[in-house]
Amino acid sequence: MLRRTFLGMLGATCVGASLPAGAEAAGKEFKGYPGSKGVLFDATRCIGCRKCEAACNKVNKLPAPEKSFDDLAVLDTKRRTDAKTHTVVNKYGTPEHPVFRKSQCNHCLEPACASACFVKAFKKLPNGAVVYDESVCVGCRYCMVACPFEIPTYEYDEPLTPRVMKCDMCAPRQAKGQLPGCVAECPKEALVFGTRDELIKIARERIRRNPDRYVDHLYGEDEMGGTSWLYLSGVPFNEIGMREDLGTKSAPELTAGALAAVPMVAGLWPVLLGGIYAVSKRNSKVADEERKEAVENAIAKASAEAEKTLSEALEKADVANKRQIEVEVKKAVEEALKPAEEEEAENSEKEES
Amino acid sequence: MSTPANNGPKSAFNTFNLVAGAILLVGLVLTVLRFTQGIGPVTNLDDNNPWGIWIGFDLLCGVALAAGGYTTSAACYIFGLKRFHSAVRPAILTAFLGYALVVFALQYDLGRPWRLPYPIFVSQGTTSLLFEVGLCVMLYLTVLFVEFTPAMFEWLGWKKIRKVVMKLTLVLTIFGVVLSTLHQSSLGALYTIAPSKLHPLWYSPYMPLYFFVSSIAAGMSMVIFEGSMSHKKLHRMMDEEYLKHHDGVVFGFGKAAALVLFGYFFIKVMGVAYDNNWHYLTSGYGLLFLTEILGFVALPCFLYGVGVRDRNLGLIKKASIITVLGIVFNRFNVSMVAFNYHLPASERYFPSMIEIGISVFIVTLGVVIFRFITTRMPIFFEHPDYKGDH
Amino acid sequence: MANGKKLLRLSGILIVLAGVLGFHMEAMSMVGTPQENGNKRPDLIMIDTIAAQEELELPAVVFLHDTHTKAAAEQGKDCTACHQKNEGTVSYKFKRLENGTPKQLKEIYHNGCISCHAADAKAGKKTGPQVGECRSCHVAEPEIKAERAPAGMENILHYRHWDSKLIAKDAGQDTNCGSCHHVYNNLDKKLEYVKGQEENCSVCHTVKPTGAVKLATTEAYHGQCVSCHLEMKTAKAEKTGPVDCAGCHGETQAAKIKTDDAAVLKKMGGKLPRLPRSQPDAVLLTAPVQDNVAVKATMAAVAFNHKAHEGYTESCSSCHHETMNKSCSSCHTVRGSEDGGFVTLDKAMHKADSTRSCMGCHAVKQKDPKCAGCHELMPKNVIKSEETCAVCHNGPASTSSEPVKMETSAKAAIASKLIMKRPESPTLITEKDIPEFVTINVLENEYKASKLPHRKIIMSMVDGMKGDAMANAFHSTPLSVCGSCHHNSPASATPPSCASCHGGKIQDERPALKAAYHVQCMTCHDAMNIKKPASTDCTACHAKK
Repeated sequence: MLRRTFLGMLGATCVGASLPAGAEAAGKEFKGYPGSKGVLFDATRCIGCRKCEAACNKVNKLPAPEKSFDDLAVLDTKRRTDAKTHTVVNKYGTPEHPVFRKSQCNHCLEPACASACFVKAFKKLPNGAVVYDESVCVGCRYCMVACPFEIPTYEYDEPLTPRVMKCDMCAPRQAKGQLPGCVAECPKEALVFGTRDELIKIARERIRRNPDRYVDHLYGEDEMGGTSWLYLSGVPFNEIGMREDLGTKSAPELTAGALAAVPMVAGLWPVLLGGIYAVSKRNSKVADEERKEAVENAIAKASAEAEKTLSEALEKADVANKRQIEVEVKKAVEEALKPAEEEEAENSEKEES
Repeated sequence: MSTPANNGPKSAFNTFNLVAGAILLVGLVLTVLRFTQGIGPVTNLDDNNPWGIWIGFDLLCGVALAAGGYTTSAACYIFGLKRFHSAVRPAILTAFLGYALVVFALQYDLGRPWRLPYPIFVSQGTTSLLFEVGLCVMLYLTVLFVEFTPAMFEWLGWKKIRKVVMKLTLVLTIFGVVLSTLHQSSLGALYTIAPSKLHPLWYSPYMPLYFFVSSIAAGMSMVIFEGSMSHKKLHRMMDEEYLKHHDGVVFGFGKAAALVLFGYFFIKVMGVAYDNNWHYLTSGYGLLFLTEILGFVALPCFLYGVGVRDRNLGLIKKASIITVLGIVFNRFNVSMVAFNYHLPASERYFPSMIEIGISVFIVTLGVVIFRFITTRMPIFFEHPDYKGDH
Repeated sequence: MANGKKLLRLSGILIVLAGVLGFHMEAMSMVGTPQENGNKRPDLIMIDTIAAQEELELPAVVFLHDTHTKAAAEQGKDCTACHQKNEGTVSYKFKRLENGTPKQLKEIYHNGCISCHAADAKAGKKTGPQVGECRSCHVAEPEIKAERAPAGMENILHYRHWDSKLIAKDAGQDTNCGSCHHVYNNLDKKLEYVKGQEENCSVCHTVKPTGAVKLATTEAYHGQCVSCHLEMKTAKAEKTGPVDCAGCHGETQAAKIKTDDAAVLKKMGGKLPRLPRSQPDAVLLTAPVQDNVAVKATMAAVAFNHKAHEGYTESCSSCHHETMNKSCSSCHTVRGSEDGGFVTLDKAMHKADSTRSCMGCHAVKQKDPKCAGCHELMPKNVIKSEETCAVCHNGPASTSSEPVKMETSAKAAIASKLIMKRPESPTLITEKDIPEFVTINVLENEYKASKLPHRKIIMSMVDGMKGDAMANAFHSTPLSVCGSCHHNSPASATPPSCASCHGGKIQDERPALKAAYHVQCMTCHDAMNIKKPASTDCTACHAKK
C-alpha cells in the first residue's frame, strides 16, 4: 500500500518533470482573464490634439513638459515614451493626410516584462492592467530589453531610487470605477474603454461597416499573444510605426523552451557526469589491475623459468656426478681387477647393464 | 611562508604597479561619480538601449571567459585526465575571480544594487531567465569559492578543514558543471525573449546552446591564453610539476577546443539554415556575421587543429587569442551591435568613456587580485606539505 | 619556419572558402532580393515557346522587340523580315505560322536569329550574339525586366476608331465595326461580321483558346491592331496607331494616348456619341425565373438608365466584364453558379467593395469631396430601411413573376417611365423652414457654446448636388439631405436632438454626446477637404471662457 503510493507519487513527479513549460505552452493558449478590460484606439478618429497626453500627465502627476500640451508643433518630431511621459501621440502619413497614433503600454495578455522580471515586479491584473511594483525592483532593466513594443522607460537620472516607468492603464482609477485618464479626455472617442471581448466585436463591426475606411486587421488581437490595447487603422500599421513582424507568440512561449531545459539539465547532467566519472575511474582501475596482473604474470613467468633452469642445471649436475662416480668406480674396479683380468671380465659387464 | 623561488617584486613602484594604481584610482573616482549621479549622467544608456557594455562585456564576456573553471575541473576530475591537474587551480582561481568581478560589475549597472539578493530571498520571479542566471551564478560563485579554499587553507596551514573540502571535490565539480551549463546557456536564452530586436542572423531558438558550446571553447582558450601569459610573467611562481604538464595541458585543450569550435561552427550554420536566413548574409550584418563565424570560429578551429598536429605551441596560443577575441566579438554582437538593429543609427548605443573606464577598472582589479593571490598562495605550484596529496 | 607550408595551405583553403561563399552570396542575392532598380522595358519578350512542350535546356531567351524593329527599319526591312503573313494578317510568331516540335522551333530560332546577326557582322554592323555565344541570349537572370502599361480600348479610344474615316466602312453600312469585330461561322468555316453582335475580343480569344479559335488573347490583339496600323503606315495614311511595343505599352506613350483621348473628348464638349450597337436606353432589371429553385426572387424590379450610364463609365466592359451578349443574371443567378464564380445576383449588384456592382461603383462616386462629407460617415454593407431599397427597387414587384416574363420592349417602357419620374434638381424643404443657426450648449465646460451655421451648411451641400443626375435621383425626398446628420431617426423636419440618443457615456457603438458631435463635424470637414477650422483648433468653434 505504502509502496504503491510512493510509486504513484514517483510516477507523477516524473510525468510532471517531463512536461515542462514547453509542452504546456504548446497545448494551452491563454487568451487573457475573462472580462478583462482594454482600450480600442482608432487611428482614423485620432486628430492629434494631445489631450490624452495632457490627461495622462495630470492623472499620474508627472512633471510638466518643456513645451505645453497645446503646442502641436511637437508632433512633427518622432517621440517615444520616457520616464516623464507615459504616452505620446506621433504623426505619420503625408502633410495633407496626417495619421496619428497614440503609443503607451499595450498591456499584453502575457506580458514580456512580467515574464522577464526576476523579482515579479510586474503583474498582469485580472482587470487587464499590467502594473509595476517599485518596492522589489532591482533595476536590471531586463523588462526594457524584453518588451517588443519598447514601452518601459527608466529613471536613469535618479541615483538612489530609480524606477521603471510606464502606463498602468490607470489601474487605481479603474479600481474607483473611473475611466483611464486618456480615454476620459479624448474628444473624438478615438479611445474606447471596455472589456476586451466587447472591444474586439466593436472593432470588427467598424471594419465590416466601413471596409474602405479600415485596414482589415485588428492590431493587438493576436500580436505577441494578444494585448489589452487594440488598434484600428486606415493605413497599414507599419506606416504608423507599428511593427507587423512581431508574430503571435507570447513572450513566455519564446522562452519556454529554454526554461523547459532547466530541469532536464539539472536532472540529467549529474547522472551523465557521474556515469562518465564512474567509467573513467573504472577505466583507470581496470588499467591498474591489468598492470598489476601483468606484473604478477611476468614475475610468475620469470620465477618459473628460473626454476626450470635450476632443475635443468641440477639434472645436468646429477648426470655429471653419476658419470664421474661410474668413472671413479670403474677406475677402482679396474685397478682392483688388474691382477685377475680374465676371470672377472664377465662380472663387470653385468654390473654395467 | 616557504615558497620556491619567491623573490617577489623588488620595488613596489614598478611599471605594472604604477599603471594599475593609476587605473584603480581613476576607477574609484568614476565609482563615486556613478553612485552619486546615477546611471544616466555617466552612461550612454537610454530607454531604447537599456543594456550597454556593463552587461555586454562585464557580464556576458566575463562569465563566458571564466568558463575555464568548470571545463578544466571537469576534464581533470570527471573525465579523469590527470595531466590537467596542475591547470585546475589557476583555472578555478580565474573563474572565481571572474565571477566575483561579474557580480561586482553588476553593482554599477543595477539601479538599486543593494537589492541584488531580492530575486533569491525576497520575491522569486521564476519565469525569468535572468532569475535562473542569478540563482546559478550565486550558487556557482559559492561552489568556486569552496573549490578555491584548499589553496587558501594550505597558505594558512589549516590542514583539517582542507582535508574535508578536498573530499568534496567530485561533488563540487559535478555541481559546478551543472550550474555552469545552466547559466552559460541562460545568458543566451535571455535574448530569446526579444526576436523582434535581435538581428535574425544572431537570433535563434538555439541561442542557449550557442552560448553554452561557445563558453566551453572560450574556457579552454582562456586557460591556454592565461597559462601562456602567466608563464611569461609569473614563471618564478611555478613548480616543476606545473611546468612539466604545461605543454600537455595546452595540447590537450587545443585538441578539444578544435573539436568544440568545429561543432560550434556547424551548429551556427545549422541555425542559419533552420531559419532560412541565407539571404541576410549579403547585407552588412551578413558580412559581420561571416567575419564572426569564419574569422573567429572557423579560423581558430583550423589553427588549433594544425597546431596540435604539428605540436606547435605558438600556433595554439595564437588560436586561443583569436578564440577569446571571437567570443568577446560574439557577445558584443548579440548584446549591442545586432541588438536593436531596426533602430535608426541616431538611436543606437555606443558606450561612454566613463562606461569604458569602469570596465577597464574592473579588469585591472581582477588582474591585480590574481597577481596578489598567485604570488602568495599555492596556485602554480604544489604546496610542499601536500605533495602528491590528491 | 616549418609552418610556412602549412600556413600557405591554410590560406589557400580560406581563399577557396571565401570564393565559394562569395559565389553563394551572389546566387543568394539573386534569389533573395528582387531587383527593384533594374531597367524596365515594355518591349521585353521572353522567348520560351519550347517551355510549353518540354523542359528548357537553357534559360529562356530575353528578346527586345523594339530594338530589333528599329534595326530592321534602318536596313530597309519591314516586319516580314521576321514575321510571315497569313491571309493578310501578320503572324505573331517568329518566321512561322504554326509551332512545330521543340527541335523545329530550336532550328527556326537559331537559324533565324544567328543568320541575320552573322550577315550584319559580315557587313561590319553592330549586331547581336552569334554562334557560340549561348549565354548572351539565354540569360537566367536578365538585368532588364518587362513592364508594360496596360493598353485598353476604352470607350473614347474605341470612338476614335469607329469614327475614323480611314477605316473602311462595312459593306452596305455606314459603320466600320466589321473591320475588327467578327464571329466564326461554323457552317462555312469563315469569319464574318454580324451587326449588333459585336463582342469583347477576349470572349473567344482566351488565354488558352479552344475549338476553332486559333489565337490567344495577346496574339489576337497584336495581330489585329498591329497589322492594321502597319497597313495604314505603308499606305502613308494621314494618321495611324502605334506599331512598336512601347507605342501602346510604354509608360509615357500610354499617357500621351490618354491626353489625346481627353483632347478629343473635350472637343466634343465632353460627351461621347453613343455606340451604334442599338443598345437599350432603359432596362428593367428583374430577377430571373428559375423554375427549379424553390425560393423565388421577389424583389421589386429596378429601372436602369443604360443610356446615362454609358457616359459614366470608361468602357462597356466596366460592367459587361465577360460578354456583351448575356444579361448579368444569366451567370449571377439568385443562388450563385459556377459560371458566375458563385457570386450571387444580390452580391453582383450590391457588393460595396467591387467596382462592377451598382453599389460598389456608386460608392466610388461618393468619394467625391462634394458627396463624401455625408457619405463618409454612413456605414456600408448595412441595409438601413425599406425606403433605402425602394430608391432603386421601385418597379413592379416580382411576386407574380409577371415582369420577368414580359417582352423586352414592354419592360423597357416601364423602365423609361420610372426613369422619367426621377427628379432633375435637388428637392428640399423650403429654405426658411431650415433653422439658420443651431447653438450647441449642452456640454459647456471650459468652452462657450458653439454656434452652428446650420442653414449655410445645408445650402452648400445642396449646391454641390446641382447638375448631378445621380445625386438628384437618390436624394429624391425633401428630407433625404437631412438624413446624414439626423440619422437613425425617421425623416422629419423637426428631428430629435442629438442628446436624445447620445448620452454622457458610450453605449455599444453609439458614441457619447461630445464624441458624437466631434466625429460628425470633423469627419465631414475632413472628407470635404475643408481645411479650416482645423480639428485641433478648439477655439475656432468654441470661444474660450
